[in-house]
Amino acid sequence: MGFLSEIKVQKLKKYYENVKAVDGIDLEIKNGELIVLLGPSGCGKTTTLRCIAGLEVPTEGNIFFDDKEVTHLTPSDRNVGMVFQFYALYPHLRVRDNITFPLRAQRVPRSQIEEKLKQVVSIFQLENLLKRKARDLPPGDQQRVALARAIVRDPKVLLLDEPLSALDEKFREEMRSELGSLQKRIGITTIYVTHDQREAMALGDVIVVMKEGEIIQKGSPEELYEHPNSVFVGHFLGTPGMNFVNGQYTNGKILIDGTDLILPIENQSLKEKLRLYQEKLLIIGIRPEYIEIQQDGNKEGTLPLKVIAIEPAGRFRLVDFLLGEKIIRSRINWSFSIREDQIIQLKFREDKICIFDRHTEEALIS
Amino acid sequence: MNEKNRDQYIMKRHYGISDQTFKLLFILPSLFILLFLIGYPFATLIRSSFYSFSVLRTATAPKFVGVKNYTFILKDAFTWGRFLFTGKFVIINVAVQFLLGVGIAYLLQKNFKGRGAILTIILMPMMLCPVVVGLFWKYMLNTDWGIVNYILQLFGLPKVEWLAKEAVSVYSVILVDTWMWTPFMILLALAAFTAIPRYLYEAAEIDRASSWFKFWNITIPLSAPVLIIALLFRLIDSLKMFDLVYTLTGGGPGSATQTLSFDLYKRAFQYFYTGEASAYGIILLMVIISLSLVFIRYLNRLAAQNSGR
Amino acid sequence: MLELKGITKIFGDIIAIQDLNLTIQDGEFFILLGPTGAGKTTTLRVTVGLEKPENGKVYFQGEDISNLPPAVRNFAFMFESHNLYPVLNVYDNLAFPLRSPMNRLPEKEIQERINKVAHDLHITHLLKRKVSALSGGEQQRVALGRTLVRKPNIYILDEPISSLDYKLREELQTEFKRIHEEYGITIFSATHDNISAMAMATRIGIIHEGKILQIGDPREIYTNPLSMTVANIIGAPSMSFLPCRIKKENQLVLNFPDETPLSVGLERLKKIKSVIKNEEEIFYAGVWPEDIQIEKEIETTGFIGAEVDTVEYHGAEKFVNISYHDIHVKALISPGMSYRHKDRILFSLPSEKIYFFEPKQGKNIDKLLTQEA
Repeated sequence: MGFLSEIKVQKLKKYYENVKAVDGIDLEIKNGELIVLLGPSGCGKTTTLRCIAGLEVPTEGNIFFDDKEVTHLTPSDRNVGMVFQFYALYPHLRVRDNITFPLRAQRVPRSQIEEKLKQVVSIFQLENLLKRKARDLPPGDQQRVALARAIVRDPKVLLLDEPLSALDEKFREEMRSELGSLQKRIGITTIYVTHDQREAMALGDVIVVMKEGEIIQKGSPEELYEHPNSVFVGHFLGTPGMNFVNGQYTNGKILIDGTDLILPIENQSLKEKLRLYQEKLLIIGIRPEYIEIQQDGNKEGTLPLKVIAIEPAGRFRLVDFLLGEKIIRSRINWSFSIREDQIIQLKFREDKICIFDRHTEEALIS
Repeated sequence: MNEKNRDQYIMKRHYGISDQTFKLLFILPSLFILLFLIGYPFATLIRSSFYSFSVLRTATAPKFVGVKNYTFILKDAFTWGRFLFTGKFVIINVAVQFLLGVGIAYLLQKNFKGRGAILTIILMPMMLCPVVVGLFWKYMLNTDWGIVNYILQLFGLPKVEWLAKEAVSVYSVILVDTWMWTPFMILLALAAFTAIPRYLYEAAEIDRASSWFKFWNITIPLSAPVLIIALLFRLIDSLKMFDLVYTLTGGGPGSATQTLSFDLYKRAFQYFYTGEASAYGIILLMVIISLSLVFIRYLNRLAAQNSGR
Repeated sequence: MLELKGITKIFGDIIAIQDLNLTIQDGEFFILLGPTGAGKTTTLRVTVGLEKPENGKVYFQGEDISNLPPAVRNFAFMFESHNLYPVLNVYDNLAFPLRSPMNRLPEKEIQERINKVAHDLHITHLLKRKVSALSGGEQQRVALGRTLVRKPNIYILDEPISSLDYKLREELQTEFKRIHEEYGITIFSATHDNISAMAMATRIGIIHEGKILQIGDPREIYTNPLSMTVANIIGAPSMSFLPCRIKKENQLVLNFPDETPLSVGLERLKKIKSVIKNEEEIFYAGVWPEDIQIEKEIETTGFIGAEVDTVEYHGAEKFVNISYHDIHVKALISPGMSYRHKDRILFSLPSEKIYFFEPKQGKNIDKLLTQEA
């Protein structure tokens, strides 16, 4: 495979008539990494990908493949492989002709074409599909063919634009595992665009969360999940997302807005950090899996909350509790028996509490 | 289900008019018109073709001759001459229009300044009435005082006997027909080209394909269905060619530009061999129907392909 | 109570659903769960009256309604593509079914109903807006509202939330459940999304290739899937299946060169042997990811050595995809554990958590009645 040791994107900007699609992006992608551009629709992730592919010309900024500037080169000259959201297979061609298209376009000698075709077909197990017309294939197979076509000419980097969005839920899970496995086996640098945070976390070595043309946070999935730098990231990642309540900290206790509930803090280091934000308006965040049922009847450091709803989810249940006027979601396994309207003592894991500034929504303690 | 709904439902059935009958009542008027304006004349035509008579000479009773009219036409050397001529005419005509149409459509694909205006101008010839077109081209192509020869002379080129010389007259008809109908080809080709999703070209760009490679491997194959339909349309139309010949050359000089349709017109409305002309008409109809069948079979195959996805 | 008895529907030469039997009690939230093409939409359309089955009957409250047109059945149907009237605003969309001559409601009552539904669905502020100006989630709510204003006998919803993005889906899931409980209505829905099905339904019907494979509440199906197909459809993520067979001397082993033994109780072994008559016949052991035990290095007996393919981080959970010979095993690991591609890993299958499936139809052996064997 054609290797790159690094892709660098510097201060990338892409403006359209009245929209700033990409507004200052910096990226460094290492060889063999799978980096995910994650964000809601309109955040600029696809535009960034297309600039890297060469399908769009940036308004400002530079792109380097291994210290060589490629910012204004056409896609042809960059040697990238791309899988589009709807696969973009040539519908009238057979699978084999689709895969060999890029090689034929460059007038690669016949014998070499056959050689490459064989290689790629065995990786994706497409032996039985070679003679079928692309438009007759089901989406899962189409995707494999699109991938085969993308890598058949040893591109330097693989670009994927929401490749799984057109698939059924269940199928998506399978294909996602296959993609992840494939990328690790082949070892090609990959840039993956999606709005689905589950995909991003499951596949990415590095995740770049984007919103409105800017990067909000980038890092490993664990980093972003456990230490979000803003309410946006905390809410966006996770199934379900982080719970947020408004509150304030005074003298070792967190007061929760809209209730007379008080959450005393025991953890010393958390207390130290919170002291800086006494009397400030805060948002307290805690993930569903870090809310626990207090088992030993000890009411210290817990909140009594009422069960509003119970949703079975296979291995566990999602239980909704009422906290003031807000609803808090938590993950509870099946070993507890819970009924609706029951009041349960809940403990919040103090090492996992995140504190955000209510005004800027940025993380203060994370 | 509540009582009210049930009552209404029962009421409907008691009126006695079912959905089926209702539909039929709507269709009946159109059906009558169809039968009267097409069915009856057609039946008469078939009947006439088996008789030898003329609508002018009402005194002579029509004589039943069986298939004699048909055999006469099919053995007539002149008819075959016209048949070959029409064939040659159609092939050249359609080929020129096809190549020109596709070529121009390809150039017009990209959006550029003034494209809308140019497109409108290009499409205008198609919107004119064929008889009018024939007439003014007749004037423009007049050997002595036509504007085309005038312009040629300005460039120092010799006059051309566009409509007066046998060898040239065919091409004049082709010229005018091309002028008038190429826009049709352009329109359909353009529609077909723009229907091709842009991301296919983007994928091809990423795959490092040249413009020619893209044209040959993506544009043409994916627009082929529409192009073929346009082709078949023009083919059938050209076979029926009458109005331009009538206004431009009157079939001449001599019988140089007489197409099959024109020949039929002569026999029916100049010589008034009504029986013979009826047979001729039926034969022509058969030819066109068989061509149209090719058309329809192709369309059906396309539809099956698209729905079997 | 809605009953579908022996429904068969054929399109051309495709049998969409075959001899389908279903009973839905009043007040249930019943969801048909299955992959695309399983026959879910066809079943819903037959129930509503948009399709006429080749065979079988539909009963409502004991009455045969099979020949009644949709309008008379008085079921509300929400299409997958919700089909809102684009030129009307939200209020008129909601009012449309109520203004139909068959209903003859006074305008005042129409207004009251709309206001209540709009309040419950949090769309009161959208009433004057044109439908085309709404976001996907808002449109979905209006579509749902349009079914709720009518007070039909049953609400039939075809993939009501699967076209929305994940976060929105989560929100609407909870709302659906809440509305179901508050209004006390009967809902008959269909989806391919197993997660939302489990979250919302009181009972689930697993449908596959036109046949119903299992009916039960979500937990029941999860803990006692009747076949491999059912396990695949309901699991998130799916069960891992390993081939095994019974060797001489009543030993149950995994069907690989190293023949790792699996310990099962005598009663269970007897049951398996009554189904798997042949000694060399291969059948399948299935385990949920959370039931597989993982060890990193210490070679403990009973653990199988294999290789890590990839690790999937899901935030609250982590999964490891294990390559063992030519099959894949997916196991849940604690977020603290970290593995890399090609690391060595040890796993074991605790016997009480293993499901056994026979090879011919993939049925759960423990659930087979002795006469079926």
